[in-house]
Order: sequence, then C-alpha cells, then structure tokens
Amino acid sequence: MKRSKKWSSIITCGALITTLLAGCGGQAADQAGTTGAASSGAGGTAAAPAAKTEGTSDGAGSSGSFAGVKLVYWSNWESTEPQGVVITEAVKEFEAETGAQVDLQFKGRKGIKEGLIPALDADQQVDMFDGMSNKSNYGDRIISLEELIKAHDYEKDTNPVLMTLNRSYYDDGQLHEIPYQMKANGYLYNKDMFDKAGIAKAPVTWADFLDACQKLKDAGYIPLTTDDAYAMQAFGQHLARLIGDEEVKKVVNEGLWDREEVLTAAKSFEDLASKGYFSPQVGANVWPTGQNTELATGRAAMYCAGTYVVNETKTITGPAFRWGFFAYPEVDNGINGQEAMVIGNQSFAITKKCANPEAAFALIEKLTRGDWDVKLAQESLALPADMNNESWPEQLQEAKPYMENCTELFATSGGLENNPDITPALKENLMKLYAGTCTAEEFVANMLAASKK
Amino acid sequence: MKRNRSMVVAFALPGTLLFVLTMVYPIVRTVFMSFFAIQEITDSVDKWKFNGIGNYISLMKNSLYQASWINLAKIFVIGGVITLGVSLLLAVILKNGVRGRGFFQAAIYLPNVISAVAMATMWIQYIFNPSYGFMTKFFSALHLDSLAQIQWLGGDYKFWALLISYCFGMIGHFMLIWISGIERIGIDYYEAAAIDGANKVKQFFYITLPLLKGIFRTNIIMWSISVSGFFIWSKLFSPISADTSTVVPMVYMYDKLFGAENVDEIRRDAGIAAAVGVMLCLFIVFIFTVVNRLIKDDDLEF
Repeated sequence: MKRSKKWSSIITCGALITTLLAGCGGQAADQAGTTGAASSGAGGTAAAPAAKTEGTSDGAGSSGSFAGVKLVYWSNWESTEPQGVVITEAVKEFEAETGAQVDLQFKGRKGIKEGLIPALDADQQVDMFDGMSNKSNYGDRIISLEELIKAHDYEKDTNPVLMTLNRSYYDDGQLHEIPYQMKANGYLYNKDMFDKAGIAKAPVTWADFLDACQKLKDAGYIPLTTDDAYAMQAFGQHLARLIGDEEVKKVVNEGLWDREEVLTAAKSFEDLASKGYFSPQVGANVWPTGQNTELATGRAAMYCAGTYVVNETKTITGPAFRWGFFAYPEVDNGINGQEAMVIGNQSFAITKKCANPEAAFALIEKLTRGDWDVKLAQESLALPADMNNESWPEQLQEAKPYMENCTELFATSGGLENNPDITPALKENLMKLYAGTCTAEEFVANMLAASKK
Repeated sequence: MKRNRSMVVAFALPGTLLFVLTMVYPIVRTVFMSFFAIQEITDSVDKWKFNGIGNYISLMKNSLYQASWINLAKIFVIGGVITLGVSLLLAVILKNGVRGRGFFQAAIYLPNVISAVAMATMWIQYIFNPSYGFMTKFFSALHLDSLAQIQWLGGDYKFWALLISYCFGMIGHFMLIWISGIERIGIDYYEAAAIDGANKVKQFFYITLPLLKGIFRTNIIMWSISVSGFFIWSKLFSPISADTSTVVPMVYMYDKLFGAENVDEIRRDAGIAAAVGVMLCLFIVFIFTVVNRLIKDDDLEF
C-alpha cells in the first residue's frame, strides 16, 4: 500500500511537471502565425542564428518563380487602413504571379515598435517588414540592400535625396531600408482661403509669410493653428533656417538656449502671436484637435506638419477640400533657403533571418514601383516612391516641386526634437509662446531652467 | 493525520516553479538590469555593460524624470484625497437609504467598465475642448467669461484636467470597496447610537470611520498600485510625445524602453527603464510599509 502511494506520488509529480513544461515551452522558430507584440518582459535571449523558414528554397531565382518560397511579412499598418488594403491586394497578386506564399501580418505601428526586435531576438521568423524608417534602430537584425538594388538597377528611380537620407541612418553608410510613402514637411494650407484672401503665390520669404497671415486675418480667417505634438516643427525649422539643423541639435542637447538666434526665432513667433495670427485656442490644442477641428474643418488656414495630414484628415475634409503646400519660408539672415527641408519616408526592410532576400526584394519592388506604387500613393494620399510615377495625388501636387528641388535635408523638426528629455518642456513652452501667454524672453528663460543652465 | 511529503511536493512544485519563472525571475533580472547599460530589453547578457548605480544617478539628475515623480506624487496625494474622500462620502450617502440606490451605485461605477481610451477622449473632446467643450459652453451660458476662457488643456491647467478626469473614473471603484466595508458593520451599533442621541454625522465619525480602518488601509495600498501604473491617461492627454505637466514614471520608462517618437535617432535604454521599474516597485513597497505601520486595525473587533 505504502509502495503504491509512493509510485502514485511520483507519477502525479511527473505528470504535473510535464504539463507545466508543455505549457511553458514551444517557442520554436516556427512561430510565423503568431500575433502580438511578443514582448518578452525582462527576459532576454541572445540572437540565435537565422532559422530557415519552412518551405523556403534558397536562391529561388528571379521574380516570377518563387514557388515554394514562404515569406513572413510584418506590416506597421492596420489591415483597414488604405495602405493595408493596397498592400493586401498587391501581395495576393504577387503570390499568384510568383507562386510564393506570403504570410502578411498587420501589426500596427505599436506592434512594430514594441514587438519586432523582441520577436527577432527570440528567433521568431519574420522575413521582411515595413516600418517608419527607424534610423539605426534595427542594427544588424536587417540586411544591407546594396547588392539587391544594384542587381535590380533599383536606385535610379528613387529620389536621390531620400536614398542619401536612408543611407545616413546606418554607420556603414549602406542602404538597409527601402524608402516609400514619402512625406515632406512644411506648411499645409487651405487654397480656397488663400484665394479668397487674395494671396496669389505661396510664401517664399518670412515677409511673404507675414503678408499672407495679415491678408488671411483681414479676410476673417484664422491664419495659423497647430497641435502640441507638432508644435516643434515650425520653431525647429525656423531655427534651422537661421543656424542649420546640426546647430539646432547642439542647442537642445547642450542647453544653448541663450544663443542669440534662439531669441530671434522666439521673437518671430511672439510677433505672430501678438498680431493675432494664431488660433485663440492654440494653447490648448491636444493633437489632433487643431488638425481635425480647425484646419480640416476650414476654421484655420495653415498648419505646419507633414503631407501625411492630408490622408489623416480626408474623412473630415472630403474630396472638395483644396490643399496647398509650401516649404518653410526663408528667414532674414538665414543660412539656407527652401531647398533645405524636412522630408522623410516609410520603409521596407529585409531581416537577417530571411532565407530568400531575392523574393522579399521582389515583393518590395512590386510595392514601390509601377502600378502598385501609384495605387498606394493614390489611396493613401501620399507621395509615390517611384520617380517615374507622374500621377501624384491631386492634393499633394504643390509638394512636388519642393520635393524635387530639395537638396539639403533637415533632421526631424529641424533637429529640435533631438533630445527626448527636453522635448516635453520645449513643447509646453512653445505652446505658450504661440498662445501669447509667454514672451520670447520668458521662453528662453524657461528653456534654460528646464536644461538646468 | 500523517502528512505525505511527496504529495505536498507534487502539488506545490508546479505552482512554485511557475511563480519563480514568471514572477521571481523577472523581478531579479530587472533589478540586475538596472545596474547595467543595456540598449535592448532582449540583449544577451554578454552585451550588458556594468554601470553600477549610474542609471539611478542619471535618473535622479534628469529634470524630466524629476517632473514625472512630482506629477505622480501630486496624483497620489491630491488625487488620493479627492478619490478616497468623495468615494467614501458617496458610499456613506448610498448606505443611508437614498432612493434609487441601485441606480446611483451603477451610474457611479459605470466609468470603470468603459475603456480608459474612450473616457479620456470623451473628457478631452467633449468636456475640455476650448471651442465646443462642456466647460466652455457651460460657463459661457452663465456669462462667467473668465471661467469660460480657461484653456483646460493648456500647459497651466492640463495636469488638473487630467487629474479630474482620472479621479472621476476611479471614484466608483473605491466607492464599492467602501460600501462592502460599511456593510460589515452591524446595524446594532447605529441603532444604539441613535437611541443615545447621536446624529448621522456623529455616527459617521465615531462608528463608521473607526470601523473602516482596515478598508482604509486596503484602499490606500490599492490606490498606490493604481497610481504607480498610471500610463494610459497620461499618454492620451499628451499623445505622440510626453508633456512636462502630465508625464509620469511609467511613461518615462516606456519612452526609454521603446524610444520616444519624432526623434532622428531612436535611442533605447533598457537599463534606465529597469531602474525606473525598480523605483516604482520600491514606491509601492514604501507606501505599503508606511500604511501598515500607521494604520492598524487589530485594536477593534466587531
């Protein structure tokens, strides 16, 4: 009796441990179908050697014959977004044409931001992904695409400035991410309001800009609005016009707020606020309030942000809304003109774990060239990736010459958002400056205090 | 009865192992990580660089991190007084035979079953919006122009707008806990007190409040846990990038762990993020210890 009890205890114990281990285990490489952010908590695993995807065949040849190849593709869009819808259709066509099997998973922006690196480090199979061109963020988890773009003669059809920008993100100076869904930052404006206010030409200089603001105000419109999230864009580009974006980065990282040019820029915005050019509610605009309830509804005329705003507000504006765009105006005593601007893009990348980069690149090429590039641009109201695609969305036609003439790149917000520890204080004080509740001198003093100088 | 040690081990082992793997190991690892410079949370140990208490020192010197703790302290103290005070008041009122008690109880609890995202959006868009929000319309209708012109979501008032919204949602939750505590108190005490001439206010201060000490302790600890995990409300009141007036340690930790938005070079620092996590944990342990020392409920039996 005692002996049988002992055995039953051992069996029970064994069964429970087996159950426990079965529940905890199973994190093998073949997790292509799993979803979610794959957050690994505090646990860390060393990056394992690339595991081959089930069914892949190395060197499957050129596009058109990838039968048996399986690609796991993580997208940073949602399946219901215009980009997600077009990508889904393009992927289906790619599968039909090549025989490849693409496991397309829409992870959303947060899914890529929070989950991609942990997934790759945990040996999860992801062959390719699209993201926000995250600037050296993925390290050696993604491959250099130089050989592939050379083999496909790909580079000639992409804006060279964007290729330079994307190469600059990596220490080796090589292209690791293919740009698409380009965007340009500057002032988006309501063309109907400009017409009614008698403004015939988009502002080029600061004097033109002030003149446009006054005419809009005289016509009964609110010339300017912004949101807290984009408050840094106008001031940052203004300062970058005066001292260049590298110097702006120094200001935010070294706390050099007592530089004369900072006060000069602040004075310009104090002037805009004192003349009543900003919306009276601008100080309380939590994104996307200004964008949606002032710009898109036709209450305010200009909004400093990226061309993506057109897509983000299209359900509010409707198709009749006439969009205009101009690059940040040139300022007095500035060191650069409208040829210097903030432009950027979304991007495609191929991971180191991809056993068949040729197939992944073929899909990227399909999405960024020809008809699908046009469709992606048209549906998402974005700028096409292929320079040969002349059919830009009507709403973004005015951005085209600026993009084509851009020869100098500004960092995001002209470098003003280069120090995330100071951005919150900057944002708060800029909103006060725009709202007219703080003077230029107070702005400088507040920023010096925030930087503890 | 003779204890069968093998059976005890057999049943305790899986749970213990699970607890060690999912709770103890991450905590110990996070504490270790907080002493190292680590870029990614998934970096292997050989990539970690020992940094001593460097992460803690740089955090203590960082003005944004200091602001995040000041905000957290304000939410904990001011929000705590508002939430626990109002919820206790409502619990006492509802327990005193108000008509439609069930309705009010459900209505006050309702915000807890609505997603925080929906609640915050409602507050931002329909209450605090400077052009069509309730506050503006209400005070304008009363011709109180100075109040109508307050920009609740501007830098000077944003924290208070956030606090009011958050407390509104939390009151129902704590009210139910107070009610459960009040229901434990026998009706005899109140009847005896009423016969002796004690009015409702005296009954509250001399019977209800002393006998709710245990619940009071529980609620403070629950509140400290809720507040230390304060994240979604802050993110919704300051979307895309953090804001000095609404940033809290959890938001700061998130930005360090996954990188802040809108920067040219996304910088991640899992070591700093781990140090923030450890400090948040110590905050709860500190509150728990202080509350347990200060509020003892074993001196009364009922």
